[in-house]
Amino acid sequence: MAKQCVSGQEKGTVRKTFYVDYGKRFDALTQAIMATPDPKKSSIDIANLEDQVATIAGVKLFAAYAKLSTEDGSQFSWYSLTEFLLGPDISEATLGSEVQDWCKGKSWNIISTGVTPSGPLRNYLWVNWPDSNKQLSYNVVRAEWAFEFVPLLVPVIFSTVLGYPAAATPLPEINDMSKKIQIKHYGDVKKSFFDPLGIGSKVSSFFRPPVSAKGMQPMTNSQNSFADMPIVGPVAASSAAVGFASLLGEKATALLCEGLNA
Amino acid sequence: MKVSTRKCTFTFTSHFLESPIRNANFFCRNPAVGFACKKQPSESFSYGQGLLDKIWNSKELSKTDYNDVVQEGVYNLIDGGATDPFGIATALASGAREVFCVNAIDEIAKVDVHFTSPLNRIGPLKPLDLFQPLDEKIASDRDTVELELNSAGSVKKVQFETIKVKTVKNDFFGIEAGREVTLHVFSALHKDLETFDMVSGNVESFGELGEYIEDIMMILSSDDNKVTVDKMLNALKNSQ
Repeated sequence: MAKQCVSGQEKGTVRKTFYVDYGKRFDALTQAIMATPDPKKSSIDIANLEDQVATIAGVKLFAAYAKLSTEDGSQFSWYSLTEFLLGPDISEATLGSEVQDWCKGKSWNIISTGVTPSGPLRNYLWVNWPDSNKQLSYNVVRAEWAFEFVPLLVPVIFSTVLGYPAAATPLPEINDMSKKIQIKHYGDVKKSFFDPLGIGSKVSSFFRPPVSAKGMQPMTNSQNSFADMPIVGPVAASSAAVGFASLLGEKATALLCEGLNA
Repeated sequence: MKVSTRKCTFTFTSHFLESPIRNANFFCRNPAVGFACKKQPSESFSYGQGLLDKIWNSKELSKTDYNDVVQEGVYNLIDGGATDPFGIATALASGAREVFCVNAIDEIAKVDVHFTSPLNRIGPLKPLDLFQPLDEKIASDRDTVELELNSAGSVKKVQFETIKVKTVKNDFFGIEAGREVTLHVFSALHKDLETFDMVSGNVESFGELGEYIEDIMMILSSDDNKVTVDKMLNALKNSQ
């Protein structure tokens, strides 16, 4: 495209090249996917998606991929969608898999974000619908300076040298801040005999004692490389832009349980 | 704005919040990615996400599953979040002394967010804190050139800027304080499309992006901008 442009060809050539080579095929693929009969229409109503979800092209495309990625009956999640989009040849590869010569020796760094609410804030891993007393959440504290502020989002880095699985990671695997963070999980695994409806649990949810405190550091073993990690994991984590909805409170997370067609 | 489902209605004032909620609802479950930080690297994603999938499927939290979540340190990872707009931090973490970044859209997260300010010293933007504040001296060292747009119709501003900066200590990325860095920033701002349009594909046609790219190419190849483009290419060629 750059050569065409620099060579002074008529304005429009580059646009046309870009569209014909990439955009048009992408549009055609999207239309073809959306025209496919929906085997899981009872669970995902693609036909009315525009009314129920949003009207933007990106969401329609996303919905189409979602439909395809669950055709085999698998559970739908951002992780499964990413796995589907990458295809079996890529999703089964690891960060240390054999690579092509041209990129051997280059460092590959993917940044994701750890959700690290503190104080009264929680991140909800699971909430039952409609009984939101049944839930699983966590927050964090700093181990060394208990009263120092912990940002809501902490960067987590995955990095490797392409083609050299045994090489040291080019960037720190986990940041200093994360080494000082402890995770506290909160869960309701049984109902109280004295409060079968869980009313007290709900009212006092901010004051539940932590059940456990574990460090956030992923490397508790001597294997000091991410080379064995399947690519799909960090790619999914690095692109899960919608994920912060789980920070918006238990009602928002409970809403996720309900689904469009519950 | 109002978000409606069959059983619930929540009202939010921000478009920023609305779309994720709608999208998340479509997922029928938590759209974040589970990560088991105590597992071996090869299992940490598949185990963490698999365990959360199991809980969502069973609609109950068993004591065994709960204990597994706690024991393996399961938590959520979501996107690059507030930390991935430019990748400057990762470049610095790898030892770079000269960074060239392309800043296509800047209405929410300009490079300026990396300069220390009272807000990002204490707030959720703290991980983005990479450089000493922009004082008068540093501001005078900013070499900013706006390129001639000529007949380009889709862009409103194309700019190349070189700034001499010094790092501040950043625990999140393992960056030491006081390193002198040359920061080059190339910006090409679209007239209409903003961040949300770009990342969501909210365009009339993908041809719009083609026109955008074409205009940038036309501007860069114009004789009017040769001096600036040469300077950019030298920065790329000689960067450390």
